[in-house]
Amino acid sequence: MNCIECQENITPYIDNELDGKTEKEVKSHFDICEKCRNYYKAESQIKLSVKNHFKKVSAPDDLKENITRSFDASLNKNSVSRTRFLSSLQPFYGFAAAAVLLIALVSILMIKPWQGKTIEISQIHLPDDFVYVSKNENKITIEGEVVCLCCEMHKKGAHAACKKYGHTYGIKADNGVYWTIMKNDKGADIIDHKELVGTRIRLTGWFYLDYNYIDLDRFEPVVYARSNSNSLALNE
Amino acid sequence: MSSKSGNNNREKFGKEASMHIDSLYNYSLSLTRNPDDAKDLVQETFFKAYKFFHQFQEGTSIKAWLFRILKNTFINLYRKRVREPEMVNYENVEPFIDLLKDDKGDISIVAEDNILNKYLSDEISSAINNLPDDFKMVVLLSDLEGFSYKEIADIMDCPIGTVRSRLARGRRMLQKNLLDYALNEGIIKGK
Repeated sequence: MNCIECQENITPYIDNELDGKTEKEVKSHFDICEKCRNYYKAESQIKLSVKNHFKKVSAPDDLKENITRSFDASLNKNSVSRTRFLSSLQPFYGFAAAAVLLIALVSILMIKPWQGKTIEISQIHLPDDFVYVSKNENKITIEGEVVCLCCEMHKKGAHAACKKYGHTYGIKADNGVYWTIMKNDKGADIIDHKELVGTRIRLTGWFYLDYNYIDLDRFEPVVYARSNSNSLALNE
Repeated sequence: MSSKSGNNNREKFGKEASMHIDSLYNYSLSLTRNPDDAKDLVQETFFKAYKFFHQFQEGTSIKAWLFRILKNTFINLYRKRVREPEMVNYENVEPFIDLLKDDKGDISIVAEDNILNKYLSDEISSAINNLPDDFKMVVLLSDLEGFSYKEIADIMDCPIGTVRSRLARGRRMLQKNLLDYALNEGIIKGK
């Protein structure tokens, strides 16, 4: 074995991935060649120091608890509620929302829950002032702020008692129209996360205009790049 | 499969899977470099693992399966968002010894066994974290987690030959990063 062949095999030699014959050849080359031996020493030192000196940290306790809890739940139900997992939306909306989107996509592919859905938005007369981002087949996408509808009405004098009976989550669209989020597995992604209140989201769903209810399909937080949000703040 | 035996398997799986939370979290932290993202990534990994438990093949490594899910999740959800790192041709990273040669004129220092033990954990960790993702992933999977090339190839969805070359180049980059640090700190004296 010459130096080039030997050096090509140093990495798998260190990782114990060579067959016996090649391993022997590499070893006997090291006996006669200091240069290759030093390459070997240098690389195995690196491997060792990664192993011994990489600073390991413990996973946070709440993460461990969440995982254990959701696992126990999955044992009982044989299925896992995804809302349980989205515990810390606040610091990282983009990622969480992407996760929600992915899960939504996966579940569409797997169980196709809206197969046979009959509602056709094209048949519904949209009011002239209906503001939407996009319309795709029977779904509509709008942007707006997540609010508790009853808290909003409370400000105007309604006898709402959200503290006692719980909030009613919805979205205030850009044209000032309020929409209620239907309570179902998908809606729970918004309903279960009070921290979303006051944030702006882009939401896609089936709109029941007569009821002002949205059967949520998916949503994503609208996050402005820093420079944009500065200019927004100035405009306001 | 009856639901009871399904549950037994599930329980066994859950117990073993939960032993790897720390490893997955550390790996996740290296990839995302942010504790909140790391947490989300690990949670999402377990969520998928439980959900797609039926796809897990008995007799294969649970740990490797979890790492594979984590890596796919990371790439799908996270990496797309961040700016792609500048493309650099890492084939040409010089070996450690050649770098030393330029500075010292000889290579005797390499023979000293304890050189790298002089580095602090922080330096090792940050040198690893500064590697491009593809290299960081295989270096951590091999050197820290002790996966075989075959397992790493499965996790990364790439041929074994690619694992091998990424490892060689990744370690070389580490050597270079650490050497720069050592020269700056006077651990190794340059010219």
